[in-house]
Amino acid sequence: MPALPVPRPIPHSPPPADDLRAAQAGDAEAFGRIYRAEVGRVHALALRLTGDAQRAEELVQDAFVRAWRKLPTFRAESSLATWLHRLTVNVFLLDDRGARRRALRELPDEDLDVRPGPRRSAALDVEDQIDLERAIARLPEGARVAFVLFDVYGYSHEEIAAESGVAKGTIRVQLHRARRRLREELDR
Amino acid sequence: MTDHLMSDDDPRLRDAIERLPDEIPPGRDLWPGIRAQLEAERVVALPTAPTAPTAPEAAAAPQRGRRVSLPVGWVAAAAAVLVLATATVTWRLRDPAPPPVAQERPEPLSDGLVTFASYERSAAELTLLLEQRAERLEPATRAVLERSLRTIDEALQEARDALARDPASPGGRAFVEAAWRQKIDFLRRANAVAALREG
Repeated sequence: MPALPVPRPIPHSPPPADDLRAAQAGDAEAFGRIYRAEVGRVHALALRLTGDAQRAEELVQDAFVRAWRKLPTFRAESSLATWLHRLTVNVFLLDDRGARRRALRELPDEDLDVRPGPRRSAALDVEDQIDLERAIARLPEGARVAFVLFDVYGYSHEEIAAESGVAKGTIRVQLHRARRRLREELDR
Repeated sequence: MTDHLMSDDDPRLRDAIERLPDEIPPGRDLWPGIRAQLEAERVVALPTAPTAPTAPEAAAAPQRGRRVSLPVGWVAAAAAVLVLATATVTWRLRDPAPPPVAQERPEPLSDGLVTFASYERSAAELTLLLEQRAERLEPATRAVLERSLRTIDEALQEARDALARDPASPGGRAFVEAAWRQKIDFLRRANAVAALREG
């Protein structure tokens, strides 16, 4: 049996340990500095998962509020960036988990490939050259989540299945559809 | 072959994924909204003295604190009070000047504990002032203020009881101080609302 893939490392400059300790003790100003250091990575993840600027902002806010609550339990067994990343994914998957599960299970017909594109995110409008980001945002939600977690951030099928409650086989199909759709986009 | 090297893996796609930026800053500053939520949570979760860590924890997080939570009912009531106070003031006031009161702070005692006498004095002054002004308020508004004050007083009493059980607890002290501050802040806002009726 092959080894599980290692999640993509998240390069970053960690916030000062003093800020982390202070934030864990309840210092909101210190947590604000942590926010400034980490928000770009969290927002990139949120934008790719949701495919929508407004929903991404809401997810970022929810994730940092959740992080504030859970920060005293952070054990530094992983980097803070990795911990925040996992927490953001959990918040996303647990937010209306039923709808998320339905989206992952939904296997669209080929006709759906011509569905109109959703409204673009502000960030993507600014960086118009990032074709893949736009293509990811246009994917059906289930395919997008599977692709972002598996191909972009290195989650395993098992991890996605465990966190979303969707069968591994379904996730594989979603991933296959996402890749095919994205290849078509890149060929245009 | 691992799952990440499936047959439909495309080198171009892989290359494009590798070039995705790690960071995309949001289009606007989200911190004020987050900060506001954190402040709201401070009402119900205050840092307390660190507990003695277990051996494996000691090295990893020597200064980690824990939080004290209040009963869910109080959380809802406290949130309602904050919303009520903010909404009422926003609705009623343009630029209210809060009544002058002494600056409150915990005062140290000789045994290392503190007293909240200055908070009690301020609260008493503000309560008296509000009672005089409350007659000018509509009965429905007065009922809401009284109900909110009862909720705040219950929370304050709960905090004081907890501190009485553990007088040396810095967390308990902070808890009582936060409850006093909330009461005084609410009284100031309520007075400002009532003062509008005086003109």
